[in-house]
Amino acid sequence: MATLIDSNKVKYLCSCKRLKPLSYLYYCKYCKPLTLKCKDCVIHEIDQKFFCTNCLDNKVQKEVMAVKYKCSSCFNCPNCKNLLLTRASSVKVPKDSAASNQSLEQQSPQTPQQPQKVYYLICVFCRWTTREVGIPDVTSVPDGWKLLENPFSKRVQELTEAYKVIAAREKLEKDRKKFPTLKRRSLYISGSSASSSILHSDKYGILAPAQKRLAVTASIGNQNLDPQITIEQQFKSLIKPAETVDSFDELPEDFFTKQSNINSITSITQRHANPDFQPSKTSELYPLNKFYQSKESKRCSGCEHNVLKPESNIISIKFKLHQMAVFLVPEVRIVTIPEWKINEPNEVMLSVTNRYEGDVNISFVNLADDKVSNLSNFEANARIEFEYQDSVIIDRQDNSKVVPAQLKQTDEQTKGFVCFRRDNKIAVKCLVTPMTKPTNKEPDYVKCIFGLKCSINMPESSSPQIQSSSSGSKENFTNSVITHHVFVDFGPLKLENGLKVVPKPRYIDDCLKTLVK
Amino acid sequence: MNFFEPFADKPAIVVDIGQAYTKCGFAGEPAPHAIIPTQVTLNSECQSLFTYKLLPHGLETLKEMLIEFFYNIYYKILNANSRERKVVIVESILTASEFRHTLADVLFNDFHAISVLCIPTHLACTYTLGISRAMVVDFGYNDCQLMPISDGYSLTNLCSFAKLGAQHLHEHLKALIEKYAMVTLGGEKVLFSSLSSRPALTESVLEDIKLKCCFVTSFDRAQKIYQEMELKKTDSFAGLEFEFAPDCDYNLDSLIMHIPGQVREMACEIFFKNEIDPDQCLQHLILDTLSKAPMDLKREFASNVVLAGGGCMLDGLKPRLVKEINFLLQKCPSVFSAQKLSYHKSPSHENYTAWLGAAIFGSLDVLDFYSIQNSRYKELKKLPDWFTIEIRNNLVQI
Repeated sequence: MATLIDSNKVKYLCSCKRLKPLSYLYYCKYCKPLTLKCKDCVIHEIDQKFFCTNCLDNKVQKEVMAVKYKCSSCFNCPNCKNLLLTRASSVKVPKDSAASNQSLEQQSPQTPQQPQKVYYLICVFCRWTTREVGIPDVTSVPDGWKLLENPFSKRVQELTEAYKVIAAREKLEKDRKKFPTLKRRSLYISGSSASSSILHSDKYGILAPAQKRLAVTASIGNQNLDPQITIEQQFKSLIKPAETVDSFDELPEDFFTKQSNINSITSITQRHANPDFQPSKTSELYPLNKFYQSKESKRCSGCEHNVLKPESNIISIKFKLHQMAVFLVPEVRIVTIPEWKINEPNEVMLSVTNRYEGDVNISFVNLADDKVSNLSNFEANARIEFEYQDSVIIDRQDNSKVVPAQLKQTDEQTKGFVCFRRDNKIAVKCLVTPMTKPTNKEPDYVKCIFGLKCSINMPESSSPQIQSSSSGSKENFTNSVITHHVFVDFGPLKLENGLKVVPKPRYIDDCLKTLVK
Repeated sequence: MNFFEPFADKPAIVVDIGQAYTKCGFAGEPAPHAIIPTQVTLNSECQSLFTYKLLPHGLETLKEMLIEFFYNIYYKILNANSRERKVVIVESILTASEFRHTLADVLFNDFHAISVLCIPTHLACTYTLGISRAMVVDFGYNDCQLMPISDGYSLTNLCSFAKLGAQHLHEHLKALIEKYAMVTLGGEKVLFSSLSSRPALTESVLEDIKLKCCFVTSFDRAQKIYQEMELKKTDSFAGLEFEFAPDCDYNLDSLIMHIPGQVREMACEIFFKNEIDPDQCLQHLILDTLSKAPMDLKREFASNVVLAGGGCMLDGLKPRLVKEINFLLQKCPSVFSAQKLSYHKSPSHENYTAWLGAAIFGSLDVLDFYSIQNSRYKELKKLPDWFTIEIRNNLVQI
């Protein structure tokens, strides 16, 4: 289904002048007139509740940060990135000793044995197991496989600490420069000997922020502010600079003579999946912890009202509020593609589907506006004509009291313009004329633009501005008319390379036959 | 509030947009959260960010691509709200201005970042070591860049580049494979290039072959090979008496490709031997830059060489480079008085060294002094270039 909508053949004009398929569009019902918002012009917001997609364990942001966004009990396969499953098996261990692997090997057959459950991880997709790389089985599942720490994290921590002290000093010196007079500057310099300074006679707590800074100054150490000691000297006193080497380890001699097994070398994606370690051999692979994820809500960039809001319950996949354009704007799809004749009208069939909860009156408008056609590099080169300009009703999706006979009668009045109707979908005929370019060259593609004028009944309660004027009745609907700009790309003009003419589907033929009868 | 970590629960986001891979994560962490290809899927087509120049309406497409790219980084990978985060971008000094301006436009106007700091790759690398003067060699995908760093300044007049990146290695490898590699077809071995419909050697296939089969051979072996080639006056590796590393089999679609030892061993030689322009190889590049350095900084640079970038993670590249440099130093002692150079090992894997440096810097509370605030950007309407920006960085004057 996603691929059907996400085909990039039919695009709509968003309020930010971008062209997007319907699946990327939302609408804001608070903005007047009703506007479309695409995924690039809404404000995205991450929910503060993080959860593991596998075990649904949830945490707030601070907790997630502490574990580096990694779930401690769920793993992905380091080989193929699919989910690893926990398997249990039992091993016999001697009764007297604890369940350690050494004792397992040393046990003699005479000692009494006791079965014990141990667990290992297996990928059901590529059959990789933790046993394959020699990771010992564990006896308890939660937190059984330890999160490996980056081998360099200690040194990085030291470096960061040292830089932080210097950064604090630099900040202090910069702050000092802000105060031109010597007296005020002294507040910042003489932290410890500031008994005479006004900060200490601050009765009313006005200078609390300054005092806080002073306390920090003291914590860094007073010698830091001694101008005699340069930053360079101070840094060296805090941390040992990195050591250098004269040479690197050579490749082992048998590397050049031994037959190498290229299956034991990891691919680049396997290495990058674990940035901390980047294993180069398959024997060094280690289960990858699953990352915590978060739900995302979207807001209209104009009025900051939510256009999409997921339910806060992490188990639910429903939305509290969803204003996706699919549920408001009729969806246009290409039904037939003829063998194109240039500069001649070709008959093409388009289908229009209504997913709005009420009936929609649509009519097709020809757009001769150059402003629109040059937008977003679309470069329309075909003229599209609709023989019938009046409005057509499309039923709503789940209409229980269908009145097909009545609608069919109105369809007959369109003289074959509406050639098919079923539930909430109609098909219409139109004429597309691919035009030659001004340079007399044949165009490569057939693209055209038309306007889709929709008139729908929206419940008024959705718009708070108007609500005040008509606060009496509940069932008050306003009729709003919106013209959507629809950009259709019919594909290449010359149907080569396996591309074929798309004929009329049989169900439409059947429908036409019944119409004739 | 902790004075030292005013943004402890909202650390800055650090992104290193490389030519091939992008490293992204949070400031203050020892490794990036994810390393992803610098690609976006736009209109159901996956393309690299840097191909924007080849596309029609390049800059507009680039903007769309960057929006998609950063949307992925913010909301799919890092799960962070863009409005409440500062951003540190690690940028190559050769980044085109139009790319930077588009990037700033996207970050400030579309993602409403609090502030953005652009930090040059080479400068960032020095923060991982706690040194202030160093010569940083960055092995990238497009090229190999050398830049001496002194006290927080990139010495641009000494900067040098060579077209020796992973991209060129891939091209060279492709040429070698087409010349030497065999495939098994119907029980007999035929040349890969003689196949009528052969599977395409795409960039990702070549990268995989490079990773799994190729290595940089040792200095002694390379010398022997070149001596023999000179003796026989041949350019071809075939027919040499030298015993190359054993062949290996690589699965390419449904074919089994035999990659001969000479391809495995000699593919990476472009880094060290250039037939057309002998100066365009790593060891010459490094020594050239060193010899041009100011007298009083020369010794310091020579004893602080930093190797960074994913390219130097190739098997055997680092020991070979050291040997080549030492050989040159012995051959012509007049150029440089030192007998050997000293190298640093950064506390990271080489492919994210620059990212780590930026992550360390991003966790400091002087970040605000050096970054461009959103309000300031709105005044200026553009991002100042990296050399006009006031990186008067007392911090690095250690």
